[in-house]
Amino acid sequence: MTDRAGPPASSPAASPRTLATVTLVLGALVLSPLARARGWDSFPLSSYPMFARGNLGSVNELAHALLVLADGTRVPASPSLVGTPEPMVATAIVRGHVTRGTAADLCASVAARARDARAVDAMAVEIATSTFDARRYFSGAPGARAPLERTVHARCEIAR
Amino acid sequence: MSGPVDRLAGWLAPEGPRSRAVIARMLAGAFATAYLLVRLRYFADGERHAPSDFAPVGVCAILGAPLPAGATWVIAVLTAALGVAFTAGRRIRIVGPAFFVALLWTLSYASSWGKILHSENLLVLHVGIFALAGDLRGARVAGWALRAAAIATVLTYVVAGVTKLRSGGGAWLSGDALGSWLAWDALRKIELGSLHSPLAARIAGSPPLLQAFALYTLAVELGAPLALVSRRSAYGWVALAWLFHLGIAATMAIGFFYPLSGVAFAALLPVERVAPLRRLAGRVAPGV
Repeated sequence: MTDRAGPPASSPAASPRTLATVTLVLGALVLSPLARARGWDSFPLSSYPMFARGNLGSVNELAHALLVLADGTRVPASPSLVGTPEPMVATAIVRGHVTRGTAADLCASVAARARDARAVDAMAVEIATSTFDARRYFSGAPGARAPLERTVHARCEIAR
Repeated sequence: MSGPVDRLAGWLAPEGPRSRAVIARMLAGAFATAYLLVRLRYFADGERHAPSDFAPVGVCAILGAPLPAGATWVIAVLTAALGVAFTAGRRIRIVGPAFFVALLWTLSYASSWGKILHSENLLVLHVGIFALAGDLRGARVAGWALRAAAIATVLTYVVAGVTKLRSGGGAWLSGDALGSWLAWDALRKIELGSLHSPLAARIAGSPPLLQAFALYTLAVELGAPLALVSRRSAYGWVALAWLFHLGIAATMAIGFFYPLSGVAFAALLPVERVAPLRRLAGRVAPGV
């Protein structure tokens, strides 16, 4: 605490009680998500529900976009092809389209971006939900990374 | 000041060094501005999204539909420009609130496409506090801003910790929940064609490591209020919290850049002792 002496205060209503009240209100706001239902989330106030669930287990479903190569193998379409640099936003976008029944629209836009990007020799795009077992996935066993189940909601060719 | 109410008010709004407050404000502003500029297209280019993906959060909930593409570019560029002025301390009593509102809007809008990015919450809260503090003239206002920023920091960690116990309970204490999340997060990043950490699967296969990391996580989050007890406890907690974020980056490839940069903890640290920062603060705030 070296330079407490400064120019005279010019902020209005700067009494300790007033300032303290502002801090209490701010603190109550930051804590308020705890008074809401579990998993409540918003911005900039949040209960920070990410990674909090305790019953995730090892088998879960992922909504994602796939590129189908000429030999039939499937590789992930990067988040940028889905329209965002963020992977979690990408899966949220795919999930949203699957839920709304508009997977074909998303498929077409991913295919258009894949055509423009010319990043890989992909023939088609699939919008899918795949079920994976995370424990099995990292076991190193042959075929461990294959999904337990996959539902393709839309498929579209990449025009060349 | 004698009664408990006055003592509490004195603790919540103590006198403090203006130089530290100015530097903490300057750092928060500089971080926010750099973050906006580095990711300008991400924040400005709303055309990447289909209108049907729009799921407005926070202040953006007033919107019934996405904004026109031109408007998002104008708002993002204006926010960055206000960030430059905020960082430089220009017309701070006008620019401060304007930058806070613009930043809140821009970041809320970016999180309105189905996924909220939680790494930005604390940054907005800090900018809001320094915007409220005006020109930070007077030891009382400076001390209040620093204490309020420190309390906001601490409480966000507490909320995250309590949520883990509420939602995960015993599974979080045993490390089971962390193991499941580490493995699933790495898996989905691989399958989404994104960067992932090879450490995740290794740690997820080790129950003792998982439990140690889970308890460390909860200790940092729930123990955050200790940072408000004394200067030494603040330094200790900041070090543990910074290592916590380093661990998240190493194991989950998630960069919480605001705390990793150290700027999130500036209000808890004697940043005024760093000579270059003090010189910069002297330029943006006369009298520092």
